[in-house]
Amino acid sequence: MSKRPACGAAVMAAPFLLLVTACATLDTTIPESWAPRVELTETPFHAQLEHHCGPAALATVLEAAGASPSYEALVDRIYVPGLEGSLQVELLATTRHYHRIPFRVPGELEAVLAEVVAGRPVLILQNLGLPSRPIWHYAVVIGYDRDRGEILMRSGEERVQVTRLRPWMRQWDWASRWAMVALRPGELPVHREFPPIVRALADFDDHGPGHLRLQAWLAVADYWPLEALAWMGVGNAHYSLGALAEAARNFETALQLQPDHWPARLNLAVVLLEQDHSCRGRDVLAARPMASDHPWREVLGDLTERLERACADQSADPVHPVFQGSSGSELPWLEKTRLVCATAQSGRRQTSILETHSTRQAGSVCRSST
Amino acid sequence: MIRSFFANSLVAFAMIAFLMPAQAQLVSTGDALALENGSLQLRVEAYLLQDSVAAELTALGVSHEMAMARVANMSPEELELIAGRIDEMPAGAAGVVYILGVVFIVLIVMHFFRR
Repeated sequence: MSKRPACGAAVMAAPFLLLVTACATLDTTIPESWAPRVELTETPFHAQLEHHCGPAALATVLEAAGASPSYEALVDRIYVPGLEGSLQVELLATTRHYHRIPFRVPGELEAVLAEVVAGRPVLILQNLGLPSRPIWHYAVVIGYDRDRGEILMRSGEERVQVTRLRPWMRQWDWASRWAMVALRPGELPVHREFPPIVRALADFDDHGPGHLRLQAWLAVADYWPLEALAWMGVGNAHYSLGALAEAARNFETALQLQPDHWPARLNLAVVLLEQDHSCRGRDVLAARPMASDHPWREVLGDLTERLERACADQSADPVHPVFQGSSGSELPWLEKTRLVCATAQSGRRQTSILETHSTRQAGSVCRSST
Repeated sequence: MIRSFFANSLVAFAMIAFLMPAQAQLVSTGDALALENGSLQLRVEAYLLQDSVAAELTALGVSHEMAMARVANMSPEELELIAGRIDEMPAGAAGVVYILGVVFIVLIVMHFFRR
């Protein structure tokens, strides 16, 4: 009989436990089309100390995704001494701290094993006790054996723990079938549903560095090229890297896909303001009426006012009509700016532009378009 | 959750501060999602929960400094989920004898269930 150090604490599990157990069918079918046996032997192993199944399991999946957190640092980050366990929420939050994106895996055996087949170990919560007397434990699924009906895990002090499918399913079911993968930014989970994936990326956006956010959102926009929010995510990441022209293009793409996407419209206007293209920004905001009960009416009013002020200032500058003219043009405005700049950079015209414009304006326009 | 007039004013203030920064600032993807779901207000309130969740963690033996660092990584939804509920945790603190006893009983029960 295998020894199973129990630990863990599961605040999310409790409310859903009854619901899940009441209607669950323990489907333990492993598709015949898959390999009869899979084991991710390269998955690292950390023997758990005391009640540290959370840190041990998280270290395993983070390392498998190329991060290198120390076991002690993870204990500091997710262990709660008063609970002698770790919270699911903190496993997710700490995954982001190590610049990996946590995705929840749907509560079906096939979904968990599909990740394993794709090469990703899956962190799961188990209840080794009873629904009324839970003993929470985190472990990492690393494989299965279809013919023998077994699940393989890194668990507790065991490098490879073998559990029969049905009891495994019950222990997982009694823990509300909670499972997650930790992926590198730019990777998507096997089960691709837009809302939960963008939720995970939006949470990563709050803390992740710009270049990783960009990779993550580009993967989403690549997979869902018709979703405005995906392009808005790419735009925000570009903006955080200072790539204003790219950001503006991404927001324009989002607006082409969904003209009433106010977040993209407001962000485009902010970028245009920063690029000293205030008149164009004002036009972007004025191009579509905002519902009178929209929660961002004040934001819109404030931004419009600033753009109008800046636009008026620019119009007072005798040089600016050159740039202003393009705002009403049929041509994509950004391309036109780039054209002006390209001309500006190739010789004589540059001198004339720099003579007629203030250096700051010429510089910012050219920077924004290169 | 008790919502006093003060709390509501605070939230309203935070909402304005949050959504109308002095410097122009992009709408985050999180805000865009909250707008779609109609949960902007919740999102703002959740940010205000950071301190109370950190206090709960501190009461459970996490150092104040680390508790603040830990809540900073939580999303508004995650804060909302655990605020005020951390100590309702199912017992993960059972003694070894108890654990072995329960595991033993469970294994017996499973033995009978398994056909």
